[in-house]
Order: sequence, then structure tokens, then C-alpha cells
Amino acid sequence: MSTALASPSSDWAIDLTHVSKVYSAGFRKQGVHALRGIDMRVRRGEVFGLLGPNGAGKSTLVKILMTVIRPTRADGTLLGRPVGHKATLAKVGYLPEHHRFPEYLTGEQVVDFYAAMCGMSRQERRKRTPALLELVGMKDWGKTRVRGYSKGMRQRVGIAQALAADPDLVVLDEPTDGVDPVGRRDIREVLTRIKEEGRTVFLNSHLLSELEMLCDRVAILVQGTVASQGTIDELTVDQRRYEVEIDPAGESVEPLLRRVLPELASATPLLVEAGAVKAAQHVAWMGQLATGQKYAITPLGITIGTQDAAFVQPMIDRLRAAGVTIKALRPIRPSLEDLFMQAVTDPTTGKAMAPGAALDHPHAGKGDRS
Amino acid sequence: MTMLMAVLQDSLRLLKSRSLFWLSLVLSVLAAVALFATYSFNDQGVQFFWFETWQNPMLKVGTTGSRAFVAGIFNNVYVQFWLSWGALILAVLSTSSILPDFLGSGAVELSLSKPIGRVRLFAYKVLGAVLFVLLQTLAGVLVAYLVIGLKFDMWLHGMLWAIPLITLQFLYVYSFSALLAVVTRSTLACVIGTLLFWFAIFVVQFSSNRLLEVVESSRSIIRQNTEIVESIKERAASQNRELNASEERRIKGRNDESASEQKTVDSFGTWSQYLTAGELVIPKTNDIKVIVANLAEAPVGGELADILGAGREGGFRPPDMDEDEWDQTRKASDDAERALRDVKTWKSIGTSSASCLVIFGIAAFLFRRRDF
Repeated sequence: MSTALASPSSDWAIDLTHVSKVYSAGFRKQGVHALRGIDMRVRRGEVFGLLGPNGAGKSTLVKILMTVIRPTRADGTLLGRPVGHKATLAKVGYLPEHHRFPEYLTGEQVVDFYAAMCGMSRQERRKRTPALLELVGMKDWGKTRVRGYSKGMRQRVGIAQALAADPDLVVLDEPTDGVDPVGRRDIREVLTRIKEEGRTVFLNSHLLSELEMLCDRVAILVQGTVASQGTIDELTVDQRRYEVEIDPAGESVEPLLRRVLPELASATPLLVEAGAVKAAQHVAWMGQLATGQKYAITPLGITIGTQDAAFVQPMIDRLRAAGVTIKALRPIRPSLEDLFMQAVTDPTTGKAMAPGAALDHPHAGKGDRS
Repeated sequence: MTMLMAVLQDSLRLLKSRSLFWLSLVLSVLAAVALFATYSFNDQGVQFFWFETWQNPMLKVGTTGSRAFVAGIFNNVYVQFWLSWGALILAVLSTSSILPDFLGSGAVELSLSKPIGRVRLFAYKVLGAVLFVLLQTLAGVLVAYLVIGLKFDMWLHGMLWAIPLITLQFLYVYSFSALLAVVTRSTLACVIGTLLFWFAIFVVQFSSNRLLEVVESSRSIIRQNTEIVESIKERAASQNRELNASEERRIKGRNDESASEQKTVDSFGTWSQYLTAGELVIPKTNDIKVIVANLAEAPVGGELADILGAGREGGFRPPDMDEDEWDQTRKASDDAERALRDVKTWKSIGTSSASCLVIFGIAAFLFRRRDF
């Protein structure tokens, strides 16, 4: 197999615009919008995470990339070739969710078969198969039939077969599904090695903590659209903050802070969204300081929307000067889970949006699934 | 080529893992051995094992009768009952799950995501299923061919046609299974649907053949009566005399019978034509055994009975039937049988293969368009 299949001119392993998929469902052939104009870019050599609630369209998007599902519309490229270009798939490894390998095959045969299906020669297959099984920790089980494998072992062999044809891009749909913690750690190490080899990894997973550890960039899909996309730093920049926890010594926190910190008096009040208050992941910013930072007073103290530790120091000084005990100063960086929950929370109601795709209904909008 | 070989190798591994495959293979070989290695021909007739001899001058060693007997057993028993029914039913049962398993959730994604077109992938999988029958038939027919050749020194090369033809017969039936697999992805639906499809084809062909038999038999009787009436009249004319009362009675009897048979032809002839036309658009599974018999130069039905001496030589003649009537009935029966055996090989294979291709085509079209 030659890497000449992929266009070298493109910096993007995946470059999608306007990807949509409408299914016809039910007796009246009502349209179900599984994907509604996805724009997404994945750089070559990065680990990219795709996350979203059930029915958000993650698997549909992956299946469109892998030509398992025909898109209603898909502009864009995969390894520099138009989406749907079959020959390009020789350089794409894929592990579907809930995959089912033929039970009569051994681990070795699984890897060998799917490599052959990518057109790899027998000689190359013979060389790669044992090495890949060793990579995923299945060397000693290569000659055992798949029917005797545990879920975790199947996942490992699945990753090996996805790497069988020496791919430039590896698409893994829930690779740690059903795997125990030790196995998950092993798979993370494998994925790190894959990345170090210069391959692009496109991960679709529910395990946000794992994505956070592995991914350079993520996209959050909600009801068939990309809610947010970027590096975790980029996505959390607005949510990073410092929490100052004080001991009010019997006083009420808010009057104490307003007395000691005069800048709060000149701050612009912010309209607090009802939904945002209800959503635990949101900070209910109460106002914006003259210097631009947002703040919120909590029962424990004050939260300042800044990444700059120096900005908080004068405030602490003033508090200490007023005899207020500082119990803790915590830099807060929202986790991927916080981002995810924020993306799937309806800002008007504060509740998680209805799962699934949107139906083709004149009044159906985001979060409205009749 | 790498992909084709990979799919075929995978199919072989699948078959090897199925007990039905081995059962069918062993039965095919055992049946071939049992049918051809358990008897021999001698100066008196056929000797079973080493003790019982069935005396029959037509079946002495080296006679054309013995050759026809072996070919007849091959076609009428081995092909007709085992290869084209028993083994094929086992093949349908065993292969019905191949496509549904391949199309099942979690499996189909793995194959569709490879750099191979859907239609080509589908064709390769069908070829994999065909391997089942090809291997069964190859083993069974080759064993039969070798046993007959080595034991009786009869090298019936025509028998080997059974290998591609029985495989083709399986393809006729499997086309519908493939269509059902794409539509339902259910093994049970494939098994039941395929057997029903096969049964429906059988019923159409059986009805068509029976009607053709009745019509051809009646036509034969009409032809014979016309000849008899003409010969009676010619005999009287050559003797320059009028027909006597007995001759007039015979002529009247023959004409009445012809009129009655003509009614049968009129009644069933149209239906027979409709069914024959209908047969054109279905895969004709029943024709395969006739084509094999023709190519293997094997006797069928009455011809084999003649060789065996189970005769239509008076033994079965009803007591109230005179010799003339008996001859006439036999001739009519022979004519009908000839008509049934008059299968146009290439027309049958051509139209059946076309039907089969249309069904496969629909299945491949649906598979190509379907989202999984």
C-alpha cells in the first residue's frame, strides 16, 4: 500500500463542510435530521475526540466517513480525497462500535483478513500481524478463536485490525467500551504510540476523562450540529477562574465582600440566566468588573473569571488587610465533562436537551423533539 | 485479487467451522460409495456385495445395459435424490446465515469500510456461499466418477457435468436467499423464504410438466388413432371393398376416442402454454436433473425401468386392456416422457440464469443503496 493514495497537499486528515443526513422514518416518511450541516476539521497527526450525547449523530458521522452510510450531503475531504472515495479507505483504519468479528476466526486471522481486505500483500500481512497483536497485548492469544475472547480482548484485537493496513488515519468508535480500567490504560498507551507514529486518531467516546487525557482537540456534537470545537484550552478559556474561599467569621459573605472589595461596587451587573443558575456546571456570573473580569459571589467566597493569578493578588491583600482569613485559593479549569454538560444543557431551561436527532417538523428546533 | 482470495478463504474457514458442511460432505461421499461400490456385473446379471445375484441378461458385464444401469442410478438416485434435493437442502440451511451474518450490525461496517465497492463485495460473498455446494458436489461426483471408472471400467465423462450444473441449481435458489438477506438480515427469514421459493418453483414446474404430459399423451393418442383409421381405410381400399361393420365400429371407436382426447388437449393445452411461458421467467431448478441426465447419457424413468426389466412388458398391463390399447398407452407414455425430456439445455440455463441474475441484481442494488 502506498501513501500516495492520500493527497499530500492537504494539512487536514479530515476536512468536512455541510455534512448532513436526513433519514426517512415512519409511515409518513417524516425526515429525521441526524446531522445538520457539520463543519469539522482534523489536523494530520493529532488525536481528535468526538463527543456528544446519545443520538447526537456521532456514529452517523463516523459511518459517513467510512462509507457505511450515504450522506444526504457531504462536502469535504478525507486524507485529501473527497468523502466517499473508496480507494482512500485503504489508508484508514476503523473500529466500529459494537463490532462483531466472525467467531470462527482466530485473532491472527481477524487481523490478516481485514488487512487483506485493504489490499495488503500476504508478505506484508505476515510481517505486521504478529507485531500488531503484540502491540495490543494479544500476542499469546493470536491463535485462539474470537469466540473464546472476553470483551476487552475483542477490543484489543479490534484496534489491531484497525491498524492492520498501516493507516494514516485511525477512526475508533468507543474503543474502550467494555474494557476494564487496566485495559483502558493499556489502550490509552497504544493510542499514544499510534499518535507518536504520526498517525491521525479520530476518537468517538463517551468516556470524557479519557478523551481529555488523549485528545489534542475535540468537537462536541449536539442534535446533529457541532456545538463547539477546538483544543480543550480554547474551549475552556472563558470558563477558567480563580475561587477565593474565605472564613467570614460569622458575617454574611456577600456584605463582607462588598464592604472589603470596593471594585465590586463599580461592577456592571449581569443578567443571570435562569438556566445557567440551575446548571451546576455554569458559573452564575453576577457582574463584570471595570477591568473586564466577571465575578460571582458564592456561599464560600468569591470567584473571579481570570486565568491571571496576579490579578487576584490585590483582592487577597485587601481581604487579609481587613482581617479576613483566606482558607483557599483555587485555580479552576473546567473539565471536558463540564464543557460537555454545558454544551448539552438547554440555556433557557437549564435541563439537558432531549436526546436524539431532530424530526422534520415545521416547529421543530434545537432541543425540540416531538 | 487479494480481496477476492481473502473473502473466499474466509468463506472456506466459515464452512470448515460448520458441522453441517462436514456432515453433508461425508454423506455425499458415502452415498457415492454405497451406490456404486456395493455391486458388480457378472455373466448372469448384477451381484450385490459378494452373495446375491440378480439375474438379468440386459445387465450382464460389458453390455450397454449395464452402462445405462450405472448412469441411470447416478442420475435417478444420486443426482435426483441426493445432490439436487438432500444435499441442496443442507446447503440452503448451512449457507442461509452467511449473508445475514455478514450484513449484521457490527460486522457489515467492518467490510463496508474497506476499499472495495459494495457490488463487488456482495458478489464475492455470494461466491463464498457457492463454495459450499461446489465443494460438496465436486467431492461427491468425483468419488462417484472414480468408483464407477475404476470398478466397472466405465468412464462416464458426462457425469462431470453434474458439478457445475448442481452448483448452478444452488445459485438459482440462493439468489432469492441473497435478496431476502439484504431486505431482512434474518437467517430464519432466509431459510423459510428460500425453501418456500424453491417449493413454488417446483410446483410451477411440476404442474407444467404434468399438464404437458397429459397434453402430449392425448396428442400422441390422436396421432396414433389417425394413423390406425387411415390404415384401416387404406387396407379396405387396397382390397377394393367397402368397410365392413367391424372396421366401421373400430373407426368410430377411434374417432370418438380422438374427439375425447382433443377435448383434453383443448382444455389443458392453453393452461400448459401459460405455464410454459411462466416457466421462462423463473429459475428452472427441475430442469437441471434432466440436463444432467441428457449430458450424462443416462436413462430416465421408463427407460431405466425397461433396463431393469420391471417392464412395461405385460407385467403391469391391466386385465381389461387388449394388446393394441396397451401398445398405444405405452407409446403415448413414451411420447409424453420424450416431451418432458426435451429440455432445451441452453434455453433453460440461459433463461434461468437471467432470472437468477435479475434477482441477484435487485439484491445487489438494494445492498448498494442501503445505510447500515
